[in-house]
Amino acid sequence: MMAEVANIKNAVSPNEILFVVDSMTGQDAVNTAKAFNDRLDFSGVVLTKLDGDTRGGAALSIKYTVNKPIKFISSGEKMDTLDVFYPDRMAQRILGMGDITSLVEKAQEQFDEEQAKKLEKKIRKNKFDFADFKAQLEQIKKMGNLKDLMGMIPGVGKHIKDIDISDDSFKGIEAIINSMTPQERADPDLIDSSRRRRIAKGSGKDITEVNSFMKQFEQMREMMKNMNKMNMFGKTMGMRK
Amino acid sequence: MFESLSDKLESAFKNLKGQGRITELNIASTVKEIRRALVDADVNYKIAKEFTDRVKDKAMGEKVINAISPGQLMTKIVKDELADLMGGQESSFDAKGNPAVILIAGLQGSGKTTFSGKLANYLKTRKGLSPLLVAADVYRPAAIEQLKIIGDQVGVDVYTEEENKNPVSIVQNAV
Ligand SMILES: Nc1nc2c(ncn2[C@@H]2O[C@H](COP(=O)(O)OP(=O)(O)O)[C@@H](O)[C@H]2O)c(=O)[nH]1
Ligand SMILES: [Mg+2]
Repeated sequence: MMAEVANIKNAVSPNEILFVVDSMTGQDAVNTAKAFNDRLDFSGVVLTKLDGDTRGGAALSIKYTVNKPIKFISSGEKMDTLDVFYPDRMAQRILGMGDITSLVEKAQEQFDEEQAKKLEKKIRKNKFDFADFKAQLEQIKKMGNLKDLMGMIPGVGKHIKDIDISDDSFKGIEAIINSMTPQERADPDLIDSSRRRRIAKGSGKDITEVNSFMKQFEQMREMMKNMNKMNMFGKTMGMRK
Repeated sequence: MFESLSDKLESAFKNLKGQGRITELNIASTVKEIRRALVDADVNYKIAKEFTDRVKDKAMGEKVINAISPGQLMTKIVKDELADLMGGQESSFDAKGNPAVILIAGLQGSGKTTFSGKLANYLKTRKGLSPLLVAADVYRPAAIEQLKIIGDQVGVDVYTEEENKNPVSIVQNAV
């Protein structure tokens, strides 16, 4: 079979020869890549089935082993689940730094670019508030592949990995945010315990649910803050070189 | 994605909590845990070992900056090294030419047909190109049918020669 592919290669000199490999197969994926590359000298790798329970070995060692770049990643059976591969973003995701860049980009594809920029700026300035959160929920709901998208928000990925997320899961959160005043949405620090009680009543939620949502939101903001620090740190290190 | 690896790395960094600075001594167990996390993720030992050696060298070579905790420093170093290991820069994709030819190869069941549909969809909707899918898997008649269905889904034509058993000539005719 490989001989035949090599014949096709010789006959039509392709611009790109992409080697497709199932990321679930780990070390085997790497060995197969090596065999194909020895024979075909392909130009890039496509990792598939990243939506499955893959441990990461293939993604981490293919480039090292065959010295060919991963060009695309495929994570689902639907036709829009293809992404260009960015090593740095993947590294950030692995470290739970979220993937705000990808999130912003996905949003840009379908929504107003201007708005996405504003959001990124707010995150950088640590001004992310409930109004932004709500706007994001609205957008995310329309984007499909909910859990994946949520996983890209810094600090959220870990919390949702065992949760089955459907659109309904957002209804509670939305109810809570809807029961806040515009001032409260814009200034989360304003929300003290008596305000929380009022919000709980207004949204028909338990006070503990409101509290735990507030806490999660706080954690998310904390993560964003850390991420900002990390980025600034990266720049300083860059200058010293 | 890669959740177990993420969790293990996170717990490796936790070892450094409360440490004022990185020393040969306090970094040892963190480095070991990082290596184990990689091996558990099915990275081969040699790659994992070289990886953690580099991480360690970098960590020991960093100047102490008060604003940065050892945990943050390690996270940053590991992030950079992971990105490097996976290729560093974003790579290019060449779709220039009339026609540009993209050959897709791999083991059975790896996801070639599915990916071909996705790529055609991507090139069409995001790059404004007019791709043509060519079925060259002559061993499995079902594969041709599957490609047609996928082409249909993404609104891209599929070129087939169902009587022809020679993939080279099919591809040449298509081009
Ligand atoms: N979950 C998931 N399944 C995939 C992905 N890519 C392909 N598959 C499935 O894997 C199986 C084999 O894919 P196919 O494209 O026919 O592989 P081929 O034999 O290489 O052409 C099919 O059931 C696909 O639906 C992916 O990224 N994620
Ligand atoms: Mg196929």
